[in-house]
Amino acid sequence: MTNVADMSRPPETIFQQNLGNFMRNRLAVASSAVVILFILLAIFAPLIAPHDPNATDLFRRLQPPAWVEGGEWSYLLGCDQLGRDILSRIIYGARISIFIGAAVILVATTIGIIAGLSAGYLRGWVDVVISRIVDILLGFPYLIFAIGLMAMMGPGLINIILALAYKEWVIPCRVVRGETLATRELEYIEAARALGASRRHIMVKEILPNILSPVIVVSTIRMAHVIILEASLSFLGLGVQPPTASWGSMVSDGRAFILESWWVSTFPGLAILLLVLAINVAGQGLRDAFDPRFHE
Amino acid sequence: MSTEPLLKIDNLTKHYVGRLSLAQRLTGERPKVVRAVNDVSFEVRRGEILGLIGESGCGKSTLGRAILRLHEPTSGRVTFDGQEVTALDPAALKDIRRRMQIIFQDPYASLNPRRTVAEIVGLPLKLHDLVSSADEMRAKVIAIIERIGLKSNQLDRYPHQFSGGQRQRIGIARALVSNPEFIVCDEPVSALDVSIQAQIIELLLELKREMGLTYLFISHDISVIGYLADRVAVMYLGEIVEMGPVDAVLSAPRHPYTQSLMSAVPDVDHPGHAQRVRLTGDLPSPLNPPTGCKFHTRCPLAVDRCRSEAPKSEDLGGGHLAACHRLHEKLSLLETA
Amino acid sequence: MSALLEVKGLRTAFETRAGSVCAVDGVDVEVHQGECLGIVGESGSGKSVTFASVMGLVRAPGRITAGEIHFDGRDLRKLSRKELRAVRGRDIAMTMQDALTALNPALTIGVQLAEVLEAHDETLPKGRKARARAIRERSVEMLGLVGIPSAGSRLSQYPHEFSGGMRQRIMIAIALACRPKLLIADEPTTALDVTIQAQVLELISDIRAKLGMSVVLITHDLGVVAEHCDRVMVMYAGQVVEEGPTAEVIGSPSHPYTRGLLGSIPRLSLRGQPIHPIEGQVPDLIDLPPQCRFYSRCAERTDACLTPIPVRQVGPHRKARCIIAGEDTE
Repeated sequence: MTNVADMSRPPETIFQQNLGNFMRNRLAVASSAVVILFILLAIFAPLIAPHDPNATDLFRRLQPPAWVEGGEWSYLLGCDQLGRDILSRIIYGARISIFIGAAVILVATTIGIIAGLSAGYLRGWVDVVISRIVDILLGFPYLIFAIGLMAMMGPGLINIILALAYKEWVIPCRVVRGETLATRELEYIEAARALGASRRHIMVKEILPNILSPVIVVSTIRMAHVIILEASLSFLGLGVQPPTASWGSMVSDGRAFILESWWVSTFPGLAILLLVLAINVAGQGLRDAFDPRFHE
Repeated sequence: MSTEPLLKIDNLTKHYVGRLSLAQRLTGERPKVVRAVNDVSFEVRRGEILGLIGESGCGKSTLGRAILRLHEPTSGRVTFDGQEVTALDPAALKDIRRRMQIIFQDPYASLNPRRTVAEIVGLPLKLHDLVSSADEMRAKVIAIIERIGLKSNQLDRYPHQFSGGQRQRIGIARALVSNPEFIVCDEPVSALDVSIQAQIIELLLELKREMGLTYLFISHDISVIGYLADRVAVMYLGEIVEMGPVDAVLSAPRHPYTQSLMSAVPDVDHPGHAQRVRLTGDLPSPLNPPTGCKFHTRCPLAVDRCRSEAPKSEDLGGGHLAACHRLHEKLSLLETA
Repeated sequence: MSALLEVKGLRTAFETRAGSVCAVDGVDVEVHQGECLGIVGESGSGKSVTFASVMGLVRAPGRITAGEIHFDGRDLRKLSRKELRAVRGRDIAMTMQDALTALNPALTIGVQLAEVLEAHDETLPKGRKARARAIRERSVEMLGLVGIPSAGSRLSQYPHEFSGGMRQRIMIAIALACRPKLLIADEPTTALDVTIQAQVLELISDIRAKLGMSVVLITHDLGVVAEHCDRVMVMYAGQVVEEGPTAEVIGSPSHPYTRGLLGSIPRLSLRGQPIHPIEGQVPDLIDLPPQCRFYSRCAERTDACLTPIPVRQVGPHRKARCIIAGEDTE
């Protein structure tokens, strides 16, 4: 094939090329739209939610959804055992899921990048220590570990984030370390060394920009996982405490009435399903478009 | 050309030692050692082009990198302009790096795909504090870019938007922007199309004249070396077997290995005139090099002494050196028409 | 003497997002019985795609859009897939540049040799044991032919256990297992050291003499062509630009591209003289203007070159795609 550069096209970064590829994947774009929708719901919750999520109304206890006999259109998805509007609670619950999901991933990815870059580039005892820590943490079952930490630290938003990030960082760390190990052998890294670049410059300015793509892809897909974990913690009562609405605790609340008043558990469960599915599909699309290994 | 050597290599050696697992260490197993470069000594005079030829695995690329301490030498000494490079601490080494540069073989892997041309070529200026403002940097970068044949409006493009030959030019610009004195050219044209090779070779020669550069030109393409080098060193399994002025070594080689190499090079102008010297056997593994003269397992002239004793480098006059026990027997494997 | 392989007006195009790339544009090739034809070209010349098309190996997004391919009297483009498969490997065989990736790393060379014999050799006995024995004998014979010592014991080894030169020879052995009439060697020596290169090329010449086989040698190295090929065809940007007996083409090239190539190859004999590189680079194959493709790089161009240039006869066996070729130049 030709090895010619087309000088008529404007400067185009690899990122822009990949973005173009991503846009051509209709399913991924649709899923991204769903995710963005949830994010908007979370941000504009006070404006969108029809009712106060914490307002109890014992007259509306276990009111069914609008299309079922006994329901009202102003309480579209029905009410829970304390008469609180489920739709409003789901909208406010999006805040929790998305905020915690994003916060955990942000913290974990930052730590993971620092640790992975250091381990992969500096090698030696730094790599040995970090790799052993990673191996040990990977051995702990995720949920039980989180439960243990929560039990020790007590409930609270920050504690949930920490409990989930404690182990989550090893995932991006492993990806970064692997990518760093591969990238450091490339000639342009050798060229930077030959020019007299410091190790810090090489790690941050030469290697990091080239390994961000797979890291972002992995982090996106992991976010879905974290959201489910948060829901699990809330389900077990270890997450955000009442009256704050969290999808997981909503599902748990509805357990006692699941046979007659199925809507109390089902709708928050569907919300979890929808968001996680959308994130996963969008994440796959990101991987197909951005991860160079999947390009041939 | 001045007679004082710009670069002096003394007994340079680079070994790679394999790592042993715990189990292997317990059983007393010895680690595998690859002797990539073994006790190599030579000089490079200011303003000359020293060619380094040899086949795969002979260690020429490793030698080039060891000289720049990109791979730390196992032992031996590298002296550049009077300074002992091998003994420098990191700060002083960084300074020397401005004066000793390298051009790589692969135009696709030697440029950071996420950086613009301006950033890539400007990096040495930044690292060595050679400019005091962004404008000055841009001006210097534009100057060198235009000299190597690209246009200033291409500065903000990314490597993947250029062809192989153009990328190689960018690599050359990067090596030259800090005004170095010595360049290791590691197979700079091997990955390029034939017509582009000629362009780059011409460019390298012009730049050498204009900027007073000295090259160590590593290549497996003997014709290219024959064309542009002043002196040439022939490597086999980590050692230099013959070295001297290009005319002498390539037209009248004295070492059997060089003779077999030259007989195998296809000649566009005189096809089929050289009698081919056929070597027996395969290239030995560098993990297990032969005893005595490393070439004896494939040499048509090998005798018992070659098996047990490694030949020393002998001066044949006029700066022509070769290491072979049978140099003075006036044998030649080559019969040319 | 009619040609063994006759390609007329071959056109192969690849559909890319940026446009249609015509990698092979109106190529005519003739290979005669027993001769060695050299195909010289750089990146984008179409030399490999031409013969991949002949073998029927071009897959989507590439497609042969026009042309006839006659081999031994049959039109290969009219064959069904099954019939083409029968021709491929038995009558025409191809070796690739990178022997390490062309050979299956997960299979022993014995299995890979057996595969091709099973597929094409009709002279093998039918019974299982006799067949297996015959395959083994034939495989050992082939490996011996290509100069691999103690072949019997090496049949059970994997490709990565051999050196680069030996792998190339194994690929040649597989290609020749069924005694094809035509061997297409695609850059057989590009990745090899010069001494191994010489060995492989000599091997091909020896076998050619022994089996009376025709060979197409695809390479970018004019020196290789000079030493081993009877005729040479020079390709540029998907077209044939020059063709003729090797000694004549190299001695007095007609096309400016060939002249430029020969004048720019660095060699010992040119020491001290400036080499004259061809300026510029190969044009983008997408949406080529209808004119001489070498125009932008040609030192001898004129306005008359701005129309599509046909191939002309410029000597008794020589052709060139140039208006000024055949006149008294140089």
